[in-house]
Amino acid sequence: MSNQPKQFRFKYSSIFQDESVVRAYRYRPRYPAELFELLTKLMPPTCSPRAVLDAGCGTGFVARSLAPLLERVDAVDFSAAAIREGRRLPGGDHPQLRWIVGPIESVAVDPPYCLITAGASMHWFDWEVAFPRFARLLAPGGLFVAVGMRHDRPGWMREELEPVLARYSMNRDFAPYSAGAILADLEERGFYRSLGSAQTDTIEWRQPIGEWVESIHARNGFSRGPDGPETGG
Amino acid sequence: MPAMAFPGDRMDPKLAAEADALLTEIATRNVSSPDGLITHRYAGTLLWGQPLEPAGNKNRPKLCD
Repeated sequence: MSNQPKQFRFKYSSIFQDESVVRAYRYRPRYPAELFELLTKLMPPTCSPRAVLDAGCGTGFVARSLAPLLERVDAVDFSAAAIREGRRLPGGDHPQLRWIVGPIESVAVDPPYCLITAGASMHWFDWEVAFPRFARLLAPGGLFVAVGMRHDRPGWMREELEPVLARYSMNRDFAPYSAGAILADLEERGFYRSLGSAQTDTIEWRQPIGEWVESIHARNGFSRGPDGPETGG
Repeated sequence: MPAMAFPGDRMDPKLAAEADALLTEIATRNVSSPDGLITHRYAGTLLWGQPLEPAGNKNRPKLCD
């Protein structure tokens, strides 16, 4: 991997191949429906076919919602476990959704794409390889879109949760980061040109405490093993 | 494609259970809703732009894109 912070190295991203991590994904918050309307409005009007490459798709939080709105979504992830889970989830068998297992930096895909999306995954790419490749895969006027969330966390999460995560995380190189800061760095180095941003309305989503605790194990640094606790892994 | 390596570290089961208990205790103490559910408030965000290939990029792989 080229010049990138230690916390994003394959040593740490490899845990997303663990079945236990993938199973815990279902307890993560979902993107607001409004976000997918905004995404389709970013498609260049004359772009054809209306195809999107979802890079680092995981279990398809972006791809499964986007597929019914477009002609084709190619959803790529290096984790076969994530894609197996994604196929089983609602919308995972949509005819306009094509799952592809492999590293986004080199796996065979089917350009041109009107958009390339990355839902909370961009930090794991080998940026100096992936972004030039994205430039070649996009149709004229096509865009790269970093998809994320802005959380309005209560005080106790900010004050009490973060120290616990720092104490138990297996990613000993972790440091706070943001997609905006990564893109600003890439822009400075000539790999990216920022064109815009948008945000949906704030939504509320509620879950039991047990599920929230489980969702922590879908994070980098918190894998309980390839198979998880049920099999003693 | 060939299977990829698994070089990452996993949590020790005892430490994982300890972390779960601590997180449960913190959440239980702080969540005040009668049904005991945690409320997440968040917005979806989009940042868009144009990926570029700098002149003389040395990382260009041999692909047929």
